[in-house]
Amino acid sequence: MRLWILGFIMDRSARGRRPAAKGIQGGRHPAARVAGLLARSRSSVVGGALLVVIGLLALLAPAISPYDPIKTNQRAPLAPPSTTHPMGTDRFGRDILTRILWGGRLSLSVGVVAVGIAACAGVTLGLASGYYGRRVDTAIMRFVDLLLAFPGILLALAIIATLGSSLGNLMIAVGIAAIPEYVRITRGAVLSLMEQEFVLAARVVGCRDHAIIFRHILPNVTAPLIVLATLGIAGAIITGSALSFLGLGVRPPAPEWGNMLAEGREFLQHAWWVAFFPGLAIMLAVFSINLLGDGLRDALDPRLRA
Amino acid sequence: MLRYIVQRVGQLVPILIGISVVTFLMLHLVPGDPVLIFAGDKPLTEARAAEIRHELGLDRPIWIQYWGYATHAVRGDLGRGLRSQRPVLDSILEVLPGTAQLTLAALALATAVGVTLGTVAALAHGSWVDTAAMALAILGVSMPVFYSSLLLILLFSFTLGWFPATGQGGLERLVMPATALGLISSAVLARLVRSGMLGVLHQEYIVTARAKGLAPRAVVLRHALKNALIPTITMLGLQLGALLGGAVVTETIFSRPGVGRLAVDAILSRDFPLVQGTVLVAAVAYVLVNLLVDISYAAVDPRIHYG
Repeated sequence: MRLWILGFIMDRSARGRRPAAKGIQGGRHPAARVAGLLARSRSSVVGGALLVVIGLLALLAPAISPYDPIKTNQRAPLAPPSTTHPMGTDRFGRDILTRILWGGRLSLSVGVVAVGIAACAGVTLGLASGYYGRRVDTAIMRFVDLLLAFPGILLALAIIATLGSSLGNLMIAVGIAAIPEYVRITRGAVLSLMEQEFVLAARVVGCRDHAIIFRHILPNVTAPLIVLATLGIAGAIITGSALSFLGLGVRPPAPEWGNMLAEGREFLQHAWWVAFFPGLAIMLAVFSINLLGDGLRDALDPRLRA
Repeated sequence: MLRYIVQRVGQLVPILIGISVVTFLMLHLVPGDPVLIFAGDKPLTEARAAEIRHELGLDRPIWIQYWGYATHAVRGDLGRGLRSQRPVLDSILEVLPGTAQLTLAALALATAVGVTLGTVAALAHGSWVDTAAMALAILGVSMPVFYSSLLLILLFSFTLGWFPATGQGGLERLVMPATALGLISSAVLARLVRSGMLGVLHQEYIVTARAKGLAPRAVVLRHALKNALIPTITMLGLQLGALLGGAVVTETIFSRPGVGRLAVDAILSRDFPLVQGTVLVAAVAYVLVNLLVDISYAAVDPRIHYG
């Protein structure tokens, strides 16, 4: 067994490819395997399809939206849903459907960029913490404990309070607040891998630290990370739009689902559509990502099943 | 047990120091000169700036400033709010009970709904009831608290007129915010309880309990649920953090006085001492509550020995 793994690793490193794929999981490419498993779960197919549609609509907003998202139209303020304005208009007479399509570009990118920031920082810290252990581990875990001491949205709130509110700061704040999860998952996975023979084998054949970390360990922790990142985007969209809702994120007149909802709150009693549809957009986006993430979790990493 | 408690309290010290360093540094990490925050609307001359700097101790080395901040904070002196000129701690303590009431009500509601839904789903494993309950749970997780709050107001205040939309005081003003706030947590707990129950239901002691003729009700409630709930208790601490964070949004929407709304108002009006104070108090409260959860966890589960 040990010899076989050693041979496998040397074979892989000789060709300079990642060792995660063939051999460990059998003949098919892992991506194909995951796709097969995903296709069998009806809910993740629904979630994935819905997400693709929402993403495409946001991406194509400039081409498909019937009106201008920012230009005001004083002749039709707070018009109820109709054939000309399927979701009605807001107090400045702007078409809500148009603003939702454009808003998706901001709200979704806040989610994706924040998760990108959290994952890059969190995975790096987690790898270092698990691989080097001792003082590095202690220092990093103390830092993570500190981040976790601020409940929920509060850390992001404190960062915004310090840096000021803007789209970039919103992404940074939401990203930093999400770092701990990535550190913990990565560190846990690394610790369990460090005991395994192929890591030992890589050390024995004289691989350098960074080669072991990036070629042998990282590819083997990607599965739980993909699941975490997918579900994390849903969480980041909620946090991001919540901060915008509070007036601490994307500022009007830029269309963003959270700040549109905040504007609609003032007219809730007499013009329900101004708040209803942006909220529905957030919920559908988050719902589709959660469905997909759950399916991915079942397919990629049964241990994480909750 | 006592040793565990002492050890756990000891671990708290570096965290508390860390929290105070973070809230202290917030002021110094603000882009630009911190003096501008304290200057108010009056035109800022060079002499006035130097005067403020001296009053606040901003002209002293940073570790001396931190030491001053920390020793004052330990004694409960968090400075004065720039707008109200009241001691920050007084402003916070005044609204803290409101936040505690809201969060605890939401937690109680989430636990009741989550445990019931999770147990029912697990008992009906594989049936349409299970599928429906879990679909409901995923929908609940996907519902941002600001949206569920607005929908509740729209339906129960504006359409049906059952509950007042805003304000604090009385049960009728607590029901909607607590429901909106507890929704996500109840969904999270339902999923957790379901998987916990599924793990427990096939264990041998359950089979034994059934075989000796215990009523199904007793088997589920006394034998299965009790054990399935253990991981749920740990989750409660985490959920409390999410709820405290969610309270920021809920309090703002329902115009309830509370620490969360105080923090948001302070940020929007650039009242920095108040921002620092609310963040500090919320984090310290959260850490202390988690300590209690951990200790009660150790006390509840006899299989776990600490220390």
